[in-house]
Amino acid sequence: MKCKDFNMEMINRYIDGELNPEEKIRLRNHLEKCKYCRNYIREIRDIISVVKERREVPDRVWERIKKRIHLFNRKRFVCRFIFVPAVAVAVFLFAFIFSAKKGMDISVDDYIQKQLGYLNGEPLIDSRYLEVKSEEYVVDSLLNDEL
Amino acid sequence: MITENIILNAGKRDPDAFQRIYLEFKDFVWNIALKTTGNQTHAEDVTSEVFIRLFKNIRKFEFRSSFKTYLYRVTVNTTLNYLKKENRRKTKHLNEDFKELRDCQIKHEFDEKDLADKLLSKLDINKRILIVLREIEGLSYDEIARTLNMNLGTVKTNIYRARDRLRKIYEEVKDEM
Repeated sequence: MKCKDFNMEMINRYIDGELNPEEKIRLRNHLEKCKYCRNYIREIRDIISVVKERREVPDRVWERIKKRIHLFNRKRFVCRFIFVPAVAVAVFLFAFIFSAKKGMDISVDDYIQKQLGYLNGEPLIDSRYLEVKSEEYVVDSLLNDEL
Repeated sequence: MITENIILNAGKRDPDAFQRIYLEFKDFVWNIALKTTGNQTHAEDVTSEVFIRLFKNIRKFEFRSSFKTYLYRVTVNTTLNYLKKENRRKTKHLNEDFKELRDCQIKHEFDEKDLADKLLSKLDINKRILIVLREIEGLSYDEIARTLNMNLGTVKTNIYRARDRLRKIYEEVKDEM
């Protein structure tokens, strides 16, 4: 028959050795009279001792971990010293080619057109350049005249 | 004894420092894995996964908590994730009409297990982790609360209930034997 004064917390604290001396005496007095609580404590202690058993790790676990660490380090090496530099070089080359292409202000077709135009008597130099040159030329000549 | 220096060296991928950490903590990681999963193969998977995670992330350890608490947390989380994946895998298998085959395997596994494994396997996973940390690893209630990020009172109450549940399971198992 279950104990009407059964106190799970008190009993567990007793099992864990957490009761103060006064509580301990009170519980012990109760246990002398109560078979249910005595059996409960014994059963919990038995179960704890059954469950408590520890086992050792098989050696193969460390071998397995070492293999995985080796794989991880290899991947890291490939990533750090091969993949990343390769990507960096590719990005650099792409940027270089792209910027070089952008820097050319005349396409092959335009160049051929200009050359053909020159053969037909058109000026080879960009007219804007000529305008700027002529303005500079005018200013320079005016200054020279003043001097 | 694992010093701060050993942990820092392991963070710099020093294999000797990492091996010292493994030797120091292998047993508790193994026992948590074994008692929680209740299966040697699963325990091997979990233990190696825990140490691989540790190897990859040890440099991020900031010494705010004790290293032991940190490792307990990694172990418990890895075990829970593993069990979730394993359950999904089992469900998938069952859905693929392997139910009969799986039942045979599970029965066979249980025949080979000893009493402790049998008792723990019948406990729900949250209670099982509490029992393993408290009774097998001998952690204090306070350490368990910190490891699982739980309130101290809740930890105590749940452990008392878990013990009581184990006692009832023990009665059932005795009747079956």
